[in-house]
Formats: sequence, structure tokens, C-alpha cells
Amino acid sequence: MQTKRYMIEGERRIIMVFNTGAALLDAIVLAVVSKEEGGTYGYKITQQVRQVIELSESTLYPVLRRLQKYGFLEVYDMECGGRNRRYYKLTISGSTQLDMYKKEWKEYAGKINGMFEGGAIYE
Amino acid sequence: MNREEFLKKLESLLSDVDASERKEALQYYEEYFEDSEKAEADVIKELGSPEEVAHSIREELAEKEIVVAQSRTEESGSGKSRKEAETAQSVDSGKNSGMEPWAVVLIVLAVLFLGIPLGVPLLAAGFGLIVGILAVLFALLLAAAICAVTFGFAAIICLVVSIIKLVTAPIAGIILMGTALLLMGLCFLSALITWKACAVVIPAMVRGIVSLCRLPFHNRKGAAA
Repeated sequence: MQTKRYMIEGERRIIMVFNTGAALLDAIVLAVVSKEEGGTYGYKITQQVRQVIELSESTLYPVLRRLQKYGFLEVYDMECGGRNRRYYKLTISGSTQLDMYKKEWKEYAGKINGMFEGGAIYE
Repeated sequence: MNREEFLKKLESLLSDVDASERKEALQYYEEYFEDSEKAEADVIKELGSPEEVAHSIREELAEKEIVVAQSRTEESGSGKSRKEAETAQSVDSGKNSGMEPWAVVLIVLAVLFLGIPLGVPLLAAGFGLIVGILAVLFALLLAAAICAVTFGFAAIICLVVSIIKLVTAPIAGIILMGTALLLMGLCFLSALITWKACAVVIPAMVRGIVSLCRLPFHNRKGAAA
């Protein structure tokens, strides 16, 4: 499934070297949703997430559903252009979770950067 | 395949999942088509086959247990499409190997059923053995002490008698005096053994008994922790 995805997307986009784990994906989705004060919708979230990581379109729905079940996201329906649209918004625990992810990421990225840059000095 | 066909196929593929979950997913993808500015065919191409979409939804539903937010990375170990997560977080991949709750219950029951008829007599036997050894040691100690006292008394009596005999029958008196001295030596030997034993064995015994009495409580603490 993964190779197939790469084949489809490899046509127009550089294949990512690093994989994105489930936790990082959750963190990115929470971050994208948090950018919109009034909430945002599925298609837009997908497109914004895809600006930073390689992601097949069908991956996002399960992630949104999961984050909703964990109570990190809440949904509400709003009329838009004569039809209904489902919006996603961060809950309080969702924003706490995002803060945790940000802190963890900073620590993680700092360590990796330190390793990379530190390695250059010793060589 | 057009949008209608895609959604119909997806609906039929999800026919066995919970109705509300199915409705939710279909609504999401319907909106997805609405919101995309691209042509239907392109959106379908990007989404992949309805089978793939259904698979991703089903997989998510399979992870029923609500894991605590902090330990959420654990679930990266289950699910095929999260293979990337598995490799990226190889540390987490081993976590799912934990035992099923029913297995734990079964083992506990087995231990209880086998443990009561086997463990209790064994424990009692062990306890009896330890008490027996302690009793023997104590008896030996007591015997040594009694020996010392008895030899002492005998030596004194012999000495007194030998002094008296020395006047009336010197040879018998000398023999008696030798016996008295022998008894005196035995008395000192016994006394020495008793003294050493008291200094070494009794404290050790007391310590042993105390730690033996503490043992069940230590165990209980260990089990609770």
C-alpha cells in the first residue's frame, strides 16, 4: 500500500526521506486545526497537512476520527454555500495535548540537531 | 468510476460496521468531494480505491480501546498502514506483546489452585524444619550448660572428698584428686562451649527467628508493590 502511494505521488512530489509516526501525525493535525480560531474542515486540513508531510488523502479521516474520540477535537456543523459542512475545533484537552507535543518535539528536534551538529565538530 | 459509484461502493464495503460510524465516514467523504476544487476523477485517484479507504476506516475502528493520551504512540504497533510508524518508532513496537487480561487471570487461578495444596504443606514443612533445627541447637546449648554445672559440682565434691581421703588413705585421695581435676577441666570445657555458644548462637538464633517472622510481611509488601 505504501509503495503504491509513493508511486502515485512520486509523479509530482519528492518522496519523503523520513517517515511520520502516528504521534507526529496527530501533532501536525492538531497544530493545523489550532491555527483556525473558528475551526476548519476536512478537505482544508488534508491540504494543509500535505504541505508539510507526505500523506495519502484517505489517511486523514481515521486520524480526525481518532482525535475526536480521544476528546482532542470537537465537531460542529455549519451551513456553507447552501450545504452542510463539518468543522473541527480543538478542545481544551486537545490544546493541552498539542502543547505537550510541541514541548516533546522541541526536545526531540534539539537532541537530533545537537547530534548532527555536534558530530560535525568531532569529525 | 464517478463520485456516486465511489461512495456507493464505500457504503457497501462498510455495511458491517456500526451505522453511525458508516454515516460519519460517508458524510466526510461526500464533503471532501464537495470541498475539493479538483475534478471528481482526480479526487478519486488521490483517495485511492474505495477498498483502501474502507480499510483505513475499519482499521481505526478496530482499535477500540481508548488508550490514555500520553501512551498513544503504542498503537502504532497495530495496523498495516501504520508500518511507517512502526519503523520510525521501533521502540514502541514491542509494547503490544503484553499478555491478554484473560491469560493473566488464568495464570493467577492456576497458581492459586496448584499453590494451595502444594504450597501450604511445603511452607509448613519448611517452617517445621526450621523450628526443629532451632530446638536442637537450643537443646545442645542447654546440655552444654548443664554439663558445665554438673561437672563443676562433681569436681568440688571430689576435691573435698579427696582432701579428706588424703589424710586417711593417701593413694585413694590422690586418685580422687586427679578425678576432681579431670572433672574441673571438663567443667571449664563445657562452660567455655556454653559461653561461646551463647555469644554466637543465641544472637544468630534470635536474628533468624525475627527475619523468619518478618518474611511473610516482606513478601506481602513485595507482591503489593
